[in-house]
Amino acid sequence: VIVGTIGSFCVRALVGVCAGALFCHIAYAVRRSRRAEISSRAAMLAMFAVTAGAAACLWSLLIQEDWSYAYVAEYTAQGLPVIYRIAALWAGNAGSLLFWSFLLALYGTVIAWTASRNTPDSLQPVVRAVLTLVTGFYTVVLNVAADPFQRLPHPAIAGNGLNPLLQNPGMTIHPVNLYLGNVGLTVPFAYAVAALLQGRVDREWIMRARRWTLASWLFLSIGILYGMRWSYEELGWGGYWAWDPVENASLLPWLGATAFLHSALVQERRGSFKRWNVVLVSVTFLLTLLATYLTRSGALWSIHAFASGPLGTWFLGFLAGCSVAVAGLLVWRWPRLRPPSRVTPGAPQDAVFTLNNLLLLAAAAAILWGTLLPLVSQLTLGHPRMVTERFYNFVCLSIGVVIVWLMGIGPLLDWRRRRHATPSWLLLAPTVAGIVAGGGVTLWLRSTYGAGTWLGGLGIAAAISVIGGAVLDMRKRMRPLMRRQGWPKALLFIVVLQRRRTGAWLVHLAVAVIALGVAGSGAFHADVQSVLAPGQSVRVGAYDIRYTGLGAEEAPEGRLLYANLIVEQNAAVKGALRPAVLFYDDGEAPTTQVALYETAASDLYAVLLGTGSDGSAVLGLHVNPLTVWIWRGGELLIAGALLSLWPSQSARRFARRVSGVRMPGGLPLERGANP
Amino acid sequence: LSVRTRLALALVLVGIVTAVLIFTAATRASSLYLTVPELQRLGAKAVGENLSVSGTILGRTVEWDPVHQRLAFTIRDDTTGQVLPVVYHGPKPDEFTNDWPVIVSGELQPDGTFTAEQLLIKCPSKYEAANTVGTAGSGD
Repeated sequence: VIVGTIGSFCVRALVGVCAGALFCHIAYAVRRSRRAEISSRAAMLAMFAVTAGAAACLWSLLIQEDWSYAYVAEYTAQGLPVIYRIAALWAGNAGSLLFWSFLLALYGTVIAWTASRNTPDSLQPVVRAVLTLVTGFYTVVLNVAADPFQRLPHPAIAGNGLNPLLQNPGMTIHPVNLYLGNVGLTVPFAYAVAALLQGRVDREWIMRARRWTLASWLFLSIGILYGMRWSYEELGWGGYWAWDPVENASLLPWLGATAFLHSALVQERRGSFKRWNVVLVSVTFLLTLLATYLTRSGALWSIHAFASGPLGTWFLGFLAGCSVAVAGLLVWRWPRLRPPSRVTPGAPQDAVFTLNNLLLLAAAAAILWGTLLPLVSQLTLGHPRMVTERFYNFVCLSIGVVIVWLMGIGPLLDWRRRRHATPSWLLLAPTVAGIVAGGGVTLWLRSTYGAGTWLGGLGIAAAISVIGGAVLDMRKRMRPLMRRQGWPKALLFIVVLQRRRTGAWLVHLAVAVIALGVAGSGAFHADVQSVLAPGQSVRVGAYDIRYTGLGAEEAPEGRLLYANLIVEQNAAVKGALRPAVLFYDDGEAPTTQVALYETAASDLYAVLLGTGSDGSAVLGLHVNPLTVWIWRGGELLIAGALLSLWPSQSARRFARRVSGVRMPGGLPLERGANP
Repeated sequence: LSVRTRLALALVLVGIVTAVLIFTAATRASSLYLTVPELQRLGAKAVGENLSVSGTILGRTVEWDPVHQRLAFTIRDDTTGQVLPVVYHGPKPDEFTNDWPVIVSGELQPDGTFTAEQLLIKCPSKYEAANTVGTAGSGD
């Protein structure tokens, strides 16, 4: 009880702390003295301490299973493993809100405490104020609409518990990363507001905003990819993406952030895209609010069952308020955002980046339109219409193929010269390679899986052209260095000192690998549903699957019924699979457990759908080619983004230690390619 | 024409093409979203249309034939109590029990049954963080 009281007190006190912190930040903005800075920093820390205190109290209640609290009774049950009791913090709306304010206060504290004293960041005060304002919004909602420390009149006898499908390690990784990413996108927005307010839309804000966007983008990517993997392993329908409104909601800010990562680069290097970047960062932040509104309001129908409640209205109001404020700021500062006159308009890089942004935003617009159509058509036509999966698959994947294809060409364009410095054969080579090799892969897939789609073949060709372009690009970079310094130093130079460029190179390669997996598994697959008696076998794709009989065993939660399958390929035994159904002792609906046989060429995905009276099994068998490339590409993407995020001082120190030679930061090559 | 104008024209063209693509695809690949009473008000006019109908599963009507992969059940509208028989060919979703809300997408047959191509089940669990329930779909 004492823990709950402290937690409750923290939540109440947070309103005051936020107001106080806001006052300190404004004082710091007005009077930029060292004392004002220290008090503003201390206020940020206090805000973090109070949110952390409240979160710790709720965690403690969840772990102790104190069922006199509504939130605890709602989301835990007796015997729920500790890891899922910890995960229960972000299970409900109230806890999620608390978790968001905790994360935002954490980000704010990190920003305030890592601000270097030597090179003062002039945008700091306003950034801190904006972060505090958004935390303040969460705090007000926590106090008015969703109190995590609400007591029950009588303690509950048993907890409500957790859906078995959620008792998966994915539950701890997928939501946390999405929250880290979505909340993190508040930081670049705060920099945009600070830059606008102070009328300093220069390189400083774009560098800092881009770095924070990249970190948030990485979290979002991990969250989305892990969600796909989880859905693929757990749900048993053989796919990983269903264009569900909640999935779409996570993709919208991701697309906005991806567009910004590219256009910010143009501003950083050439000074153009000033207005566009401010708008894009703001739109991305507004999309995170919209995503929260869509998923928490119950306005749309989704397989992700979020409790609907007043939270949606609050977020809609906040979204409207922020939109008006941003629009006002933009109108006020628009004349100041003029591009510098030395920038020549119409350079090929600008065109490629504009096209990239246009396409990414077109994909986002299509997804937004499809997701909102039920609401829009209800308002305009009087009856709701829903788009089907076909809409998303056709529109978004067509746009996706073009984006991927451009990815192969974009990085080959030279930054330093205005005209096409890169010979045109070099620009054409990846596309030609993609068409030839992609055609080969497509023919091989067609021969094994039957007809696929045109779009799938084009996607594979585009992905291969990107991989080819990446190889050419790296060769172009490595060659002169190798000649001069030998390969160990060249490698060190490329990986450590050009880490941003190499990180981006890795991320592009990773996206191509993921695209290859998506195109392969989406457009070509073999699906068989078959009733097999023991001893019988069936052919799916390149595999022969022999069923040898049913088995049963006791599991901690209930009874597991499984089918024994032997997988053969070209008459050689490759392995055994055990797709199963888990029947729960407490009478909950049984759940299927997918069995997977993964190879680089294809996944064999087996589901036990039912059993016949004579010991026969009804099996759902899918062969999804190249699926594993999605997950491996995801790992590559994480590695690339982390490399890009490696702080420059630490990277230089590392390079010095390894090579024994001092590598100055101002090498002409590095300055030219990677400022 | 200057380079800049040509570029601007090209980008505007790309913008228009994508906008047209989005809107035409949305009208062609969309279905009318109805409740059971709204569907019955339309009656024979609804036959052959692309429809999505929402209701809740009536548990005692669920017939699952694993050998033929045929799932037959009835959905009911909670406010009016009107019902609609549904037939779906494909694997039975994990969570398919009484009183759970479902959206069926497919076509109404002249005999009044609804042939579903896709089922979307919403899990009533309040656990809010992530993929709560299985979809049954084609998978691409």
